[in-house]
Amino acid sequence: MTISMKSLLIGGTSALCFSLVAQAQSVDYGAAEQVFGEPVTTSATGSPQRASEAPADMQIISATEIRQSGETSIPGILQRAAGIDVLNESAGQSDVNVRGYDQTGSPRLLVLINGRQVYLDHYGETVWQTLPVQLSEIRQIEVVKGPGSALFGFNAVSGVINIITYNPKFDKTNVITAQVGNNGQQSGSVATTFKLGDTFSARISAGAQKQHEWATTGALPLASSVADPMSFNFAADTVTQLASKTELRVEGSLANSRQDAMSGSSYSVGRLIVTSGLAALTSDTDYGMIEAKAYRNQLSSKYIFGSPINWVNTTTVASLQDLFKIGADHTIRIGGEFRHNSLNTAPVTGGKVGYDVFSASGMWNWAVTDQVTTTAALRIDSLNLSRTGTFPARVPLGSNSYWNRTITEPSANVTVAWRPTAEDTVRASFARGVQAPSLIELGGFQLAQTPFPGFTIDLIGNPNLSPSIVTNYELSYDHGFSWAKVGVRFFLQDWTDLKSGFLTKTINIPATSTTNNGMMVIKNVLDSEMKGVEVNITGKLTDSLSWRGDYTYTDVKDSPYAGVNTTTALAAFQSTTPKYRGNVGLTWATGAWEADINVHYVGDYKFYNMVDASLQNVKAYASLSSRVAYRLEESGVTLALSGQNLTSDRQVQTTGLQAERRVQFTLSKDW
Amino acid sequence: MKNPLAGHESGRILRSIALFALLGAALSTPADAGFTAKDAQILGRVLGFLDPAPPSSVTLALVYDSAASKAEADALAGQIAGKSGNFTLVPKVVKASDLGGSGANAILLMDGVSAGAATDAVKSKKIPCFTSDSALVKSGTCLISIKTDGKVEILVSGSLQKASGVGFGAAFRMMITEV
Repeated sequence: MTISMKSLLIGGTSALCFSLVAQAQSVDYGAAEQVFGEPVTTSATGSPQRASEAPADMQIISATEIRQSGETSIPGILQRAAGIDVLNESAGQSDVNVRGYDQTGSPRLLVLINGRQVYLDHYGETVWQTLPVQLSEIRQIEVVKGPGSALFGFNAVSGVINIITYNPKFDKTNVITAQVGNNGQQSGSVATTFKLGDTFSARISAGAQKQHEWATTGALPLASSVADPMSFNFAADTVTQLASKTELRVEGSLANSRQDAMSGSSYSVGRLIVTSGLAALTSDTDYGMIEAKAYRNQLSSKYIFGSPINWVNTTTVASLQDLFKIGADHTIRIGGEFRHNSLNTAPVTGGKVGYDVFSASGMWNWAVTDQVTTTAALRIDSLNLSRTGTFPARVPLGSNSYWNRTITEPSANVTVAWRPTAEDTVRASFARGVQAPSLIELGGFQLAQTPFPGFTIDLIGNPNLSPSIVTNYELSYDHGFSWAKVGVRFFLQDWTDLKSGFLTKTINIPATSTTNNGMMVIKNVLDSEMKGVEVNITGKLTDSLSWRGDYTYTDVKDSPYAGVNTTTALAAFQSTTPKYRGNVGLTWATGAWEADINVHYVGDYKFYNMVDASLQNVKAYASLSSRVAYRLEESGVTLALSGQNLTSDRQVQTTGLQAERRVQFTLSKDW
Repeated sequence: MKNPLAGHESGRILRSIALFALLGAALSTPADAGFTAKDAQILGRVLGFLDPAPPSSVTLALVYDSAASKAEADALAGQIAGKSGNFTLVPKVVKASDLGGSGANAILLMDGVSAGAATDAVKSKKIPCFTSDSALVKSGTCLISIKTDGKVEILVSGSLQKASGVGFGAAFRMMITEV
């Protein structure tokens, strides 16, 4: 294609562009990895790239590492990555964030499966049991650290977790697994791929699990506020080759999950049913790789906060993008996206909050020389908020007109990479990320509390919330020695307009003659700055024995707005972010045997007390996980013994339930 | 908001990183040891990304034009026959002047072989030419160079892609270096 034709395309397409979530399933990850000797990814720019050349701070966790870890959940796997904070608050749910600022219902992490969002859009949180994926069908988990909203849009502010499954078009994988363990652990899963003729391929997976909740050991949480976690997940993924260079991908999934989790400083039980459907048409044309995609996620949830809260959240996304090269040195992506998101009000019903988002974005990757590459990405999102329906009596902000509002924000990522040798990479990057307020914060949560007759406190969302903005600077250096690979990252984040937790304890709208007795409203309550350093190292002692280590230091300084108590606002990030976290691990694999041991360390931090939400010390802890496995090669059967939190019967990792030792025996067969 | 790239301490960090990077550059030793069996395995994988795709059984012409290069071709032929990726490689030792009638689906130039005949074959027969010599790709006389010593490097001639119509899909083009 000539430059002039591409220029025409840029001009023409930008006028009607709609899109952009990185979708990469037309990339044969396995074959490309075998060519380059390293994983490939699309999570940095939307363009397929070798992991070592991606202009982002990224860590890729391979299928082999997932299997060898013996972890039974994705948060367990993620906490082995450098700089990942995990609040292990119950047997079935953890909150995950990148480099500090973790909180209950962690809303600053974008979690995707094959580029489709799987976090729950009503609050921006991820309930890991609802993810419609089995560990055995994951090719790799891509962890992008730092803001990525210029590529992915809202929510990708602390980082992005993109879970890449095996692709039935390119990969053959068939695994059935059964697992039992102490404390009532029982789980089973199957993942299989097949082809019908030369043009149709499919991946089907299903899994179910249950276990006993960690024991209640203190006055709180009450036994009635927790429940044994259990889940069922199903996913179907099909690829139809419509023409030699055009494919249609259709996916559907169902998750039915029950788990308890910390919500602010208390526990609640959630019963969630999540369904999704996706269709993506990808064509490799003379004008580049063009992809049109649409998907819908629907959440039906029932939370028990004393009384039931039933939310139905529907998210519909349609996107169009084009990815192409100009000459040998320039890769361009342009696109646009439309998103509709709606949520009913609860527990006081009668209202519906929603928004439409129109987005336009672009990415330019320029190989300036053999050694220097620059990447720039820009995205503009325009969110149009609205509300319909009724309000509780005598509530402040009791008019839908307050919700007629537009939020328009740009996101950007700029990186310069210098590779003076094949073994050295220096990267300097700048990013601006945007976290839009969630629908719960914008009014989906609507509560009238009457502690005694004649006295009512309201808690409703705030239509005037500003988005939280993060600006991130990072400088990194990676070097490959003959005996190890070493990486060092220096980073600085500047947050503005961080919000209070949605169960804020602050009455910040006083009573008037026309309202009830005051209102607690979610507000923008502070700015914050974080600086830190991360060191990671991996190496091999012998062909069969590898080792790894990482250490991340973060220092958070909050700047609360006038009159704000960050503790009662559940936004005391300076105290609730540990300064230190890290891992040390060994993996041994030879012939039929595999063994792995990992120690995860978290330094002292504070978190909200279950009784009065004051800040309570959580002492530094180290948790040990391990696995040993033997594979019968001829039959494809693997026997494995694994465990987590192995050093003690129960361990204080948060201010909530104490993490219990869990041990599993797993029998799996692949064919 | 402080700029992390400014100030005395940050400047020291920057200088330290640059020093380490330059030290790494000074210690690295580029190597060019001709095409190896490992390179051939990568060649088989690369064939899967070609557009148009070759047949599943690929007759790979190992092209020589001297006694030394013939010895290299003979040795390599014994090592690379068989499955490579989704393809079966059938190596065939071919003299450069006989390339036109060799019936090859792909060409692999031995060390030091003149690429003239291969360039003609790429254009006229629309088949790929592989080499370990990146200079031949940069000059537009061979289509693809592969180096697996250390980090895998794949160079593709943009001009020869256009001239021959043999190239790669958009996704693969974004992961390689086109010159």
